[in-house]
Amino acid sequence: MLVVLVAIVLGSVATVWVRNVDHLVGVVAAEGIALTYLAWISPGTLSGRGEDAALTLGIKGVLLPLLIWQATKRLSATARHDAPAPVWVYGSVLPLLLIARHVVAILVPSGLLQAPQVLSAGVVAMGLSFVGMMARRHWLVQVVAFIAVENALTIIISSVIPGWPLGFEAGTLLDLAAVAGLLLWVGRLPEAAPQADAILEADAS
Amino acid sequence: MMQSWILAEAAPLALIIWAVIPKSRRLPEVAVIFASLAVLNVGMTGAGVRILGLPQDLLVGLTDVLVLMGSWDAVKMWRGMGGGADGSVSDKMRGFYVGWALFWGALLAAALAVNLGWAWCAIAVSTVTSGWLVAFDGTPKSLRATWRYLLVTSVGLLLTLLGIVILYAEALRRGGGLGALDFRHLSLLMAALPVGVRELTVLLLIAGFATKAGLVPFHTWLPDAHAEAPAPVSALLSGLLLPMSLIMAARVANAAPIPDTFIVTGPHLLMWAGLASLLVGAAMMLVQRHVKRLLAYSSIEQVGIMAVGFAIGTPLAIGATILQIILHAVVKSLLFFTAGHLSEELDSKHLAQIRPLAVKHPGMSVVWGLGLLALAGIPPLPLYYPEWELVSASLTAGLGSWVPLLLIGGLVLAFAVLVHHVLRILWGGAARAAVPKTAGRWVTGALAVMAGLGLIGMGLPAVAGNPSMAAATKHIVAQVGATP
Repeated sequence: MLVVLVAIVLGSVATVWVRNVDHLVGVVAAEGIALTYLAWISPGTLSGRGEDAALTLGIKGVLLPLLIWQATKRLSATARHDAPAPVWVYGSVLPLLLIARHVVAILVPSGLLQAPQVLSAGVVAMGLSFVGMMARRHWLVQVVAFIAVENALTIIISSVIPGWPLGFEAGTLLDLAAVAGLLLWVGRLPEAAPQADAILEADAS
Repeated sequence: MMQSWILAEAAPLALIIWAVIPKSRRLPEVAVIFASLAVLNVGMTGAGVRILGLPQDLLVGLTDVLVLMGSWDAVKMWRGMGGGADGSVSDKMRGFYVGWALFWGALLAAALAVNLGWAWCAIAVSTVTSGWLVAFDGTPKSLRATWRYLLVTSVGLLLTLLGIVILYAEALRRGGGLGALDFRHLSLLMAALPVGVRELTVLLLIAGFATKAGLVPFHTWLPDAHAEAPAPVSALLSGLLLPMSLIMAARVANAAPIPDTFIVTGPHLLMWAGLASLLVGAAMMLVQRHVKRLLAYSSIEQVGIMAVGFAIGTPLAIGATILQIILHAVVKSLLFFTAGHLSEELDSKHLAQIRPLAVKHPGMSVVWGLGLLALAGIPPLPLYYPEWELVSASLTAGLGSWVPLLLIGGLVLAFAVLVHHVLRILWGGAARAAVPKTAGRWVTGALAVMAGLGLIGMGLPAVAGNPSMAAATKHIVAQVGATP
């Protein structure tokens, strides 16, 4: 379990830290494999753990990294680098830790929590990925940060509920499917993005 | 229940099948036929009779009617793009109608859902399908708008999912299952949670649904998505998806009994987000230069009014809010269709380039002007009535002076801004020659709808006092969960 938590938290750190988008393929794959292991060791409710693990590996461990790898291949060498995250991002770490502690403090007395440490790690990972999604400029980094938010959510769910109905996870997977569809379909977005940004900003002003 | 689902979802399913059949023809016209059949079904299965009895019936009926209006408008949209006149169907058209039918089906599923979990799933599906439609033009602007829409609303939906996880965990602990997330049992489940956990859960659920409803400060996706989507899609997004998400938030807010000493109660959250949306939406309308962005900020303002109504929570306020939802959906849809045709015929989406509309396109200028005045709340156009009722409810609900003051201030600001836009768009700018008019029949139809709305507006005070209408409203208010 510790390995899974470390992989998820490090993956979230990577969404804030990593500047070369090529490296993000590895980050997504590592998180996907970690979650596959989690699905394998967790009891299923509506579905068997084998099916959960296979589905998780197929989508989060293989399909998404493959799509991101395809997208990075279309980028020029200079377009593969993102600007560093702004300084305020690093300042957000302490508040995130305090929020995680506060949430755990609320939930522990209720008896709802199966594993407080897992929830702490999940909340920190979710917060970091969320900050990465908002602070980073490169659209591909934003995609990966979004996937990391969803992965952190899975960790949080596992800390509260030992088994999780596949129907809800399917809802989350639909979001991932949207991201996947977008990646597949808008290969031209990387080139168009700066231009579109300028147009939208001009409109807004 | 299952029968309702099958009957309701049959029309969108049939449209998907027609759209994917390789040699099918006349897709836009067939979409109108299927939508008409769906509206007919709502009437024939008795839902038309019960339409004021349950929120599900009301929302299903409203969805089918708006889809029918949108399908009619889409026929003209495709003709304008040079497609479909000879009955042929392009791949692009097939893609649009598959997305359209999926979005329709997802909205119906959300309307029919009686379980918080399944309602969440339906709203998630509607996000994906509407995202496809927002990006339909394939321009860089529409792709960026889609990306922002999917990103922001998905994060909101994740927050909601976290809230549902906590509720579900509590249900499991008490030996329940998914059934405990039924809206009818939600208050029991909420009451079982310790106060701090309940506060956290309500915060997560409402923040998530508020994101999808476009309430301030979670509204950043809305102006771009509404502006870039095709007009019929913008109409569904604004007229249905926003209020439907807001109704989910209201049901959650009213299900959670939290002591008055807490600031972060559901009604408080809805109240402050609603007032902020009303004021921000009204103020932002003033500086808009893009036809559909003006309507998008108006949607933020209108959703704000609805959120305040749900937050006040008295039967009078909730009844008025339901009426506001129905009337806003019709008026705003008509305005989005008008905006689409204006952009197409005058070849611009910028307000500066369509002025003076009264000279350039007199017929459209009447529809556009009346529509904006309806949003402003001018009698007898019908939105004046629920807004007046809401102001009355805010004054009699014992909320202190700040809420009525801010509500009235926001409504006055929105009124002034919209009247300013009407005057400026219709008669501002240098006069130029009229453009050749191709939308004669469309203008006649739109004016007929406006006239109908005017008649409804005049009749509303009398109808609202009718005992059977009052009884039906009371029932629906109880379903949404008013404060006793």
